Amino acid sequence: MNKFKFFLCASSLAIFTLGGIVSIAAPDVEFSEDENRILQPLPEIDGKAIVDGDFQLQMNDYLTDRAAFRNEFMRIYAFSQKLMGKSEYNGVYVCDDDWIIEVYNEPENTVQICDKFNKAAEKTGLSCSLMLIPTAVSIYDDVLPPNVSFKTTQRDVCDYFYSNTEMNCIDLWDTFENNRNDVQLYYKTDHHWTTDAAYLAYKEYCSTLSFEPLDKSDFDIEIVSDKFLGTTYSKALSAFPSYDEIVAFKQDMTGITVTYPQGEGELYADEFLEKKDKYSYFLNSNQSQVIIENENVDNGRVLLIVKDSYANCLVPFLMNHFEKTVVLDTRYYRNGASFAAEECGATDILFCFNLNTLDTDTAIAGIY
Amino acid sequence: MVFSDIPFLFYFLPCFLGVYFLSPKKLRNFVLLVFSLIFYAWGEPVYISLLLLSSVVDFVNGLAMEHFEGKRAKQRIFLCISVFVNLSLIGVFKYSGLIVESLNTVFGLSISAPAVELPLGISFFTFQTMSYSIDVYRKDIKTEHNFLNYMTYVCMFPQLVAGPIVRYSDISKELTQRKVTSDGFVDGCIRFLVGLFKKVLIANQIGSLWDYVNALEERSSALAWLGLVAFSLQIYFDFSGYSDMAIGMGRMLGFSYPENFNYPYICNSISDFWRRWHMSLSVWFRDYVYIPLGGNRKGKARQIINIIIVWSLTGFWHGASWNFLIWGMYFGFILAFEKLTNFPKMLPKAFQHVYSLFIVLIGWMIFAVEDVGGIKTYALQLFGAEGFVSPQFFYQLNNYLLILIAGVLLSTPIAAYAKKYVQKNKYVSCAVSFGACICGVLLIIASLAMLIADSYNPFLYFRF
Repeated sequence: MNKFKFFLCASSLAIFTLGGIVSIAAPDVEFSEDENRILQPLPEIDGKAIVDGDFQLQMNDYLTDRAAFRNEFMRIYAFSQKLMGKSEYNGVYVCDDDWIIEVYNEPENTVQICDKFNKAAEKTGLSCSLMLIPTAVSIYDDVLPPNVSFKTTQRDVCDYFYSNTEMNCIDLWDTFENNRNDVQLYYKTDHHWTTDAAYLAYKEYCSTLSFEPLDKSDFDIEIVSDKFLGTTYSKALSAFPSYDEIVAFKQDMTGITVTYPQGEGELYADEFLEKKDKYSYFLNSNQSQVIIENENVDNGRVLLIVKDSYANCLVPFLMNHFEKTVVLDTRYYRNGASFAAEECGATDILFCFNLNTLDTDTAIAGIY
Repeated sequence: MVFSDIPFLFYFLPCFLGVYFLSPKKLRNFVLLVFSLIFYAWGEPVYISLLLLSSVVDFVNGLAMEHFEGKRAKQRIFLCISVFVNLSLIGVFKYSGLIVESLNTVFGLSISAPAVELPLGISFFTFQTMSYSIDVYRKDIKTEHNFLNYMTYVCMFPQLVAGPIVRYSDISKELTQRKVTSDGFVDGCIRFLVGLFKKVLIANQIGSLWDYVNALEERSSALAWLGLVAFSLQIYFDFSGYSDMAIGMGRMLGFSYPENFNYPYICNSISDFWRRWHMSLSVWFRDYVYIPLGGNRKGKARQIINIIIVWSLTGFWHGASWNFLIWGMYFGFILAFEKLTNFPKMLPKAFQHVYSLFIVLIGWMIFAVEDVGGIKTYALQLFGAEGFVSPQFFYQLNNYLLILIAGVLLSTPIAAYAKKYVQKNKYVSCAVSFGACICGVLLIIASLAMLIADSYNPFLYFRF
C-alpha cells in the first residue's frame, strides 16, 4: 500500500477523533468575543424536544460552536476566503487601505419603519428630531471593492425618511462629504463612527435646533486607546490589522451626574479599553437607560434620546445643552417613546439611528 | 445528521468506527444497524417509523413470495402490496400537499392539505425496499431470511439519506461475508475525504453565489448565466461529493456501493449526460419502469412514449413541485429527439459539448428556480431582458473567479489524467504523492474551518 495514502487516512481519522476529544475536554465558552455573539449552550434533555428534533438541532449547534480551536479555525476560514480571492465574506467588505466595512443589504422595511417613527413622534406631541447616520459604506464608497453596487442606497432611504416626516431632520450628508478627507469619520476595523464624526453630527444638530455648539477647543481631546480592533475586524480577521485610535472629547464634569440603572457612574468606562469591545467605553456599552443631569444648564429643557449604539459617543456633546438628558435603548424598553417621554418630563426628543442596521434593528420595535 | 458537519466528523464517525471494528464480526451488522438508526433518528425522530414500516413490509413480502414459490398469481399479490405500500408512503408524505394544493387552485376548492413534513430520505429507502421485492418476484435474488441482515441493508447510514440507491443484489454477499482489507479501508477513507472536500470546499463555496443570483429580481444576461454555472457546479459537487462520502464509507466497512457520477459535464449528448448523472437512479428507472413498459422492444413510437414517461417520473422524483415534473419532461422530449434523429452526433465534437451543456444549464434553471413564473422571468433575463452585463456581474465574477475555475476544471477528468501521467515516472510519482498527502491534510483543516466558521452548509436533497 502507498504509505502516503496510509498517512493521509490515519491523519484524517486522528484529526477527527482528537477534535472530538479536545472539544469535549475544553471548558464551555459562553460568548465568542471574536464574533460578538452568544454561543449555543448545552440544550436540556427533554422528551418533547427530542421528538420534535429541536434538541438535535440545538445539539448540532452546540457541538459546532464548542469545537476545539474555534478561534483558530475562524482565522483559517477568513484566510482561506482571502486566498480564494474574495473581497466580501462574513458580512464585510475587505477594502483598500485597510478599511473593513460592513456589508449593506437591500432595505426592505423602509416604509414601515418610517411610519413607526412618525407615529411615535406624533403621539408625544413634543419637538422631535430625527438623525439618520450614514455609515462608511456610503461615505467612503471609493474604497469599496470594484463594482459593488446597491439598488437602494442609504441616501435613498434617508431621503425617503426626511421627506416623509414632520420631525426636524438632521442631515449629515453634506458635512460628512465635506469633511471625509480631513478627519476619519469611521473606524477602519469597526462598524461605528468616530468621535470626530459624532462631533460634526452634534454641530449639525445644534444648527438645526439653534443651539450654540461648543467649540473643539472647549474639550480636552485625548486618545484613550490606539489598539482598537472592532467588530468588522472580527469578521474579516486579517492577519495584519491596522489598529484604530479611540478619541474622547473630555470636559469638566462638575455639576454633571450620570446615572445608570445600577447606580451613579462615569460617562466613560475605562475598563472596556482593556477588553476587546473598546467602543463600549462610551456610556458603558448599551445600557437600557442612562440619565445625565447637568446643573450648569438652566433652560428647563429635557432631552430624550431614542437610539442605537451610534449615539453613545454623541451623548457627551448633547448633554451640555439640556438640564436632563435621558438615553433610552428600546431593545430593553417596550413601552414606546411617548410613555418614556412623559415619564421623564421630556421637552425634546431625538431619534438617532445608523442607516446600515436601521432596516433590521430590533430596537425599533419598542419605539411606538 | 449529515456527513459534512462537525457532530458527524468529530463524534459520530470516530465512535462508530471504534465500536464497529472492536466488535466481533458476528455483531458488526448489529452495530451498523444501531448506529444507522441513531443517525436517522437524529434528524427524523418520528418518521423513523416509516423507515421501519417500509422495511418490514418488504421483508415479509419477500418471505411470502418464497412461501408461494411457483404460484405466480399469489406472488403477484405480494408484489402489488409492496409497490402499493411504498408508493403510498411516497404519495402521502411527499406529494399529497402539492396535489391537494393544485386541486384547490384548479377547481377553486379549499381542501386543507395534510400537515405532513417530508421524511428524510423517503425517496431513497422506499425505492430500495421496493427494488428488493421486485427482484425477489423476478427471481433475480434469493429471499433474505435474516431480519438483521435485511434491516442492515435498508438502513445502513452511509447511503440512507442521499444515495446512491443500492440494490440488494449489489451487496447481498457482503452483508454476510465482507472482507475489510487495509487497502480497501484506506482507499475508502480517502474517497470519503475527497467527497468531503467536494462538498465543503467547492459546493458550499459556490452555492452562495447561486443563492445571491437567485434572490435578485433583475439580472443581466451575464449574471444570470453566471448564476446557472454556479448552481450546476454546486449541485454536481454537492451531490457527487455526498455519493463519494457514501461510497468511501461503504468501502471502509467492506461494502461496494454502485458508482453514481461519472464526470457528467463532459457529456457529448443528453443521452450521454444521463448515463453519467445520478447513475443509480437512472438505472433504477431503466430496470423497474422503462424495460417493464416495453423499453425499445415495441417499436419506435412506443419507445418514445416510454422515454417521456420514465423521464417525467424521474423528474418528479426530485421533489413535490411541478417544476421538477417539467424538468423531467424537458429531458424526456430531448432524449426522444436524440433517439429519433442523428442529433447531435452529426455536429463537430466541440459543438456536441456546447449543445449538451446548454441543454443541461437550461435544465438546471428549471430545476433550481422552482416557481413557474420565476422560470419564465429567469429565462428572459438569460437572453438579455435586463441588459447583458451589469456591475454585479463583474463584482461577483471577481469574488468567485478562482473557485469557479477550480470547479470547472475538477468537473473534468483532468486530475485522473494528471495522475496517470505522473505515475509513469517513479520519482515524480512519489514526490506528487507526498505533495498530495500534505495538501490533503491542509484541506482537511480548511474543511473543518469552513464547517466551524461558516453556517452556510445546505442539505440539498431534503426534497428528494
